[in-house]
Parts: sequence; C-alpha cells; structure tokens
Amino acid sequence: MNQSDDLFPPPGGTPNPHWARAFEQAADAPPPRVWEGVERQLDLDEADGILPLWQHQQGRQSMLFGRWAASVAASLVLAALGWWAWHREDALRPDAPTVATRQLTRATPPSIVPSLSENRTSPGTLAAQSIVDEQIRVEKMPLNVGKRSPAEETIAALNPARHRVAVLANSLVSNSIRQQGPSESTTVAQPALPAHGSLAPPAVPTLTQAETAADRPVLAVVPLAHRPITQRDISIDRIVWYRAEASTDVPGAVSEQFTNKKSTSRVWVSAGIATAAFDAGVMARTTANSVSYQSNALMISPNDPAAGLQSQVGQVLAVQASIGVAVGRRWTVETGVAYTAGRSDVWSPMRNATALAKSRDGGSANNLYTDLLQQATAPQPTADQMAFAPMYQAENVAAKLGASYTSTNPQVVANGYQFVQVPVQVGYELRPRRKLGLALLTGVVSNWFVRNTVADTRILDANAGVYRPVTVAGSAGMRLRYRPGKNWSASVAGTFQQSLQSLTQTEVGFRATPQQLGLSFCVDRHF
Amino acid sequence: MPDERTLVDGCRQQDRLAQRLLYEQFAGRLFTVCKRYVKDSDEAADVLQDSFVKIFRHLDKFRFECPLEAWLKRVVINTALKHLRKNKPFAHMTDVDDLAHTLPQPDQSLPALHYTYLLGLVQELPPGCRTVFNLYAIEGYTHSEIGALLGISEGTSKSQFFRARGLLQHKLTDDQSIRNEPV
Repeated sequence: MNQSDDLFPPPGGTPNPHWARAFEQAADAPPPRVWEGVERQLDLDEADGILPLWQHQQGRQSMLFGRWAASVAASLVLAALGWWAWHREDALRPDAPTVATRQLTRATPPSIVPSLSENRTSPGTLAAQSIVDEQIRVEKMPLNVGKRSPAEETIAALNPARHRVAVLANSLVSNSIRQQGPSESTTVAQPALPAHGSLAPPAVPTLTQAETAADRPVLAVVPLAHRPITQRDISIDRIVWYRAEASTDVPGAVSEQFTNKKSTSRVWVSAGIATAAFDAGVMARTTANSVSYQSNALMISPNDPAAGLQSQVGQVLAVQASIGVAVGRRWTVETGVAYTAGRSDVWSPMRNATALAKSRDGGSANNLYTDLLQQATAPQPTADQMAFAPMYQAENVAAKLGASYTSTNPQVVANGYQFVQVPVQVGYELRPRRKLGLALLTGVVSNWFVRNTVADTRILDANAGVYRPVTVAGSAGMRLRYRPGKNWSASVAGTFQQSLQSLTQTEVGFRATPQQLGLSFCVDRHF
Repeated sequence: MPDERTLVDGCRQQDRLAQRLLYEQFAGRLFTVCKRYVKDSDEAADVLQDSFVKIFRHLDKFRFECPLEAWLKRVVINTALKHLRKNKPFAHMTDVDDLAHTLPQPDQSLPALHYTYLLGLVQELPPGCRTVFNLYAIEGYTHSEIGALLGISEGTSKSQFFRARGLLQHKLTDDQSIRNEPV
C-alpha cells in the first residue's frame, strides 16, 4: 500500500452543516469479531517479523522475554521428568509389582463412615436397632456439638447433607465406645468400615452374653426398609469457574478483557517426512552380566561397559500425518500417526574360537546379541526355572551354546526397526498467529512395534516374544512455522524422543531404550 | 485514558494494549462512518476491521498535522471506497442533470432527527449516489475531488449527488406526511 492510499486527501469543500452535524457524534459499538480480526491480522503481519528479544523502550517489557523464561522453565521440567523416567525404567514396566500397593490402598479406611442405609440392610438385631435408634436420636441433636475441624467445615460447606451423615456415623462410633464402660453389661463392637467404594454391609454389632431381658422388647421394632444407596467419596466433584463480567467503561478492564479474550478453535492437518538420528540404546541387562560373571561361563566383565552390547547411532526416516487444534491463544494439542523405519547397528562381543568351533548355527549367530535373541525366542522355561530366571537365563545361554565371548573384536549386527508411532503432544506457541511462528512441543509418543530385521535376515515381529508391542516415549521439541497465508503453512520441527520403557521384554537378556533426535518437515493446511 | 500522542506512540511500538485502547476510543464513531458507505452492518464491520489493520500498520505516517480522528476517518473512508470499488458501483453511474431542476432545499430540521433514522435513509440510497452524497454532503469533498477519488467526471458526481438529495428529500417528505396524518 502506498502512502497516497493512506494519506487520503483532506476535503477541500464544506460539508452540509445539517447532515455533518447529525452524524458528528454518531457512534455504534462494532461487533466483537472486529477486534478479534484486527488482532489476528496484526499477528500475521509480516512487518512484525523480528523477535523482540530485549527491551527496546524504557518501561515496556519485551513480549518475548517472559515466553523465553517460560520455555526455559518448561525445558527444566521436561529434563527432570526425563531423568526420572530414565532412572525408573524398571518401575515403568507393565508387570511392575503394584498390586500390593493397590491392595494396601483399598484396605485403608475411607474418610466417610458407612451411611445409615447400610446399617439398615443388616439383620435386625437388638444392637443394630439400638444403634439406629441412637442415630435417630443423634440426628435430632444440633450439628454443632463439638468443634469441627477445618476439613469438616469444608465438607459441610460442600455438601451439608453428606456432612450430616458423617456426623451421625461418628456419633455412632463414639456412642458404641461409651457403651463399653465397666458398669454396663452391653457392649457393642464398633462396626467394621467397608472397603473403599464397596457396597458390602458393615459387620453387624454383636451383643455380649450379659444382655438383659429389658432390652429384648426393642427387638420387636420393625427394621427400616432397605433402600439402596450409593456411597461416594467426599471429594470435589466439579469445579465451576466464574468470571466476573468486565466492564468496558473501566479503562483497567480493557486489559483484563484482552487477557481473557475468547479464543477461537483453529484446526490444522499436516503431512510430512521426518529424518532423525536413531540410537536403539541396546545394553546388556545387569543381571545377565553379573550372573555370567559369577558362573565364569562367559568372559565378559560386568565392570567393563565396552565389553557388553553397544548400539550405534543410525538413521531413521518417517512419514507422518497429524492433526492439531488450538485450545487457546497459545496452547495447542496435536496428534497423528507416523510410520518409522530406522537402522541402528549393535556392536556385540563375539564368541571365542572354541565356541565358534562348537557352534552349529553358522556365521549368523556367533555373537552375544544374536545368542540372546535366540535365547529370547526359544521356548519359555518351566515355572521352576522361572523362579531362578536370571540365573537360568544366563546359564542357559552359556550351557546351551557352550559359548564364551570376547570383546576384543566386536561384531556388528544390523538392526532394521519399524514402528508405527502415535504422538500426542501439547504445544505452546511463542509467537501465536504470526507469519513466522515458533512453538514448543512436548508430549508422549506411543511406539507400536512392527518388526526388527536382525542382520538383514532374521525378522522379529511383535509376537516373537522379544519386543514389547507398545512402548511409550517422551518427546520434546521446537517447531518453526512459516505461514504466508491463511490456509497453508510449512513447518520444520526439531524433536527429541526418549523411550521411557525398554523396547524388549523383561525376560530378554538385553534392553533397548531408543532415542531419536532429528528434524521433520511438514506442510500444513489450516481450517 | 491516555492522550492521543501516548496512544499513537504505543501503537507505533506494536503495544497491543495501546492498540486496543485506540480501538476502543474510536471504533464506535468510525463504525458509523463505515455504515454510511456500505449497505449493512456486517459489511461495515468488515470494512472497519480492514481499516484498523491499515491504521495500525501505517500509523507511523501520521504526523499530528491534523486531529487524529480526522486522519483515522480518512483511512476508513478510503478503505470503504476500495471495498466499494470491488463491486464497481461507480462504473454504471451516469449524469442525471435532468433531475437538477427538482432539487429541494436542505431540510433544516435534520439535526433534530436521530442519526439512526438518517443512517437508514442513507443506506437505502443506491451505492453510487450514496457514496457521492457521503463524500460531498457529510465529509465536505468537492465534486472535482470526488471525481478524482472515484474515477468519474465532476458532472457525474454532481448529478449523483443531486439524485441522492432528491431521493432523500422525497423519503423525508413521505415520512413527514405519514407522521402528520391524523390517526
């Protein structure tokens, strides 16, 4: 646009005073979409293509400085998570012993004492009926007996009815304790608390042998009708966020209104390719090495990392399609699917000459890596053997093959991995709605194992018993997107993926935690 | 509310809050200007949006040699004319000098009428003569300037203006007679 277009010449004549005056102060509020459109256009303005990395005027904070601080903080959090995941590789196994913990949790008494209806469902014994009568009596008492704890105050505020039930139940317990005095002949056991979330009736209170006959007429009282009730935890069921209506008459409200501006949903689809450095992260498991050291069957020292398996960095190529949606001005959620094929060689100790002579497998299986693979694909051991799995594992390798290994001249075994990856990522736009956009990405990637071609000859798929069908990896990266128009853009993203689980099953003598570091190139279509 | 110079300086530095404040201050009056040039509010909103984008992109060209609102108004009018040129309403305008003898005198009671009523009358005009009427009667451009702006002859501008005035006067008279009829 040239200057003459903007500098529209001022009028040289005189307006009609009546008409001009009629429209002089006329004003109508434009619809909100006007400002939203203006803002969007300004964000896409190519004239605003320089990153304001520093303060260029006194008193005005750089728009980007805060975002960089946020991105650094996010990176630190991500690094901490990665470190944690790296050191908890075994804990993330699907078969990790979490059952005991779960049982312990279930045995913990809930914060809510069983409701009255559960007592009603129990057989109508004297003690039970007495307890119910006592509950009814207590129910008529004012609720502010005794001092409430802060938690009780909160519960009472959230749900007064539920709190009343809790008070009744507490009074039930305390009442039963009071009845256990030495002068009274009737003792009532405290009702057992049901398991968390369970509808099973609590243990029925019992009477002692010294029950008096005067108490017996109470037994004639007809038990209360059974009414099913669902017991639920006291928790915050729903959080309702309120936003006070900002008045545009107040100048300060404008910035708040601007901050809380409604975001429009933006959806895009992408297609592209990715190439990355790929390291399968193959390492011999510690158990196998230590046992083999003890048995002296293998010549590998557990203290020498170079003596074990070692994978080399290879290359991976992926074809990917994804879809993303903006859930706010800066946040995005993205998912998709990618088909990945990568190669990562493994340096493996060779069998020594004596073992080679004994081996009848030919040249394709004359190193530790292939032997471990063969071991993993062999028929499963019996239950007794599984009880000594590590020892069985290592000794079986040595005993079956009669092999010993040396790392003086390691052998390279090619591995051709293929995965289907389904990433779910969250993005934070550092430069939202700009022509040149920058975003931080982080998320998880589920790797669906397809197959691994070992030494270009042996194909191991997900059913071979070596690799897990699905593993999870964490990913982080940064994406640069050039968006010349409304509908199309091109993006390049640098991503790092770290597997959070071993690619191999726990019974396999080595583990693999793949890493990827590379670039992806995509074309995006925006809607 | 900051003064105009502070607002303009903030907008020139792409300060979004300053841009928002400038928008809040002038959008209402400029929206009415847009509505005078186009046929409905939706179209006027589009013109206003484009206008503010231009304003914020080229505010550095404003030298404070005239009131800010006047400059903003000129940008809005220019944008509205560009918008109208897409539909080429001026290409079909012809001289209507034969209507000159029917021109009525300006209605002295106009200020008493609410602008929304007058706005409705203006919006009912055909696009060509509506534009000329706005530029001549309300903005104060001469017919020669209007001819240069719209790419038409000065005579065409005059005839379109006379036609607009005739239509408006006719409408005003009709409405007045309806109001004066006994119930």
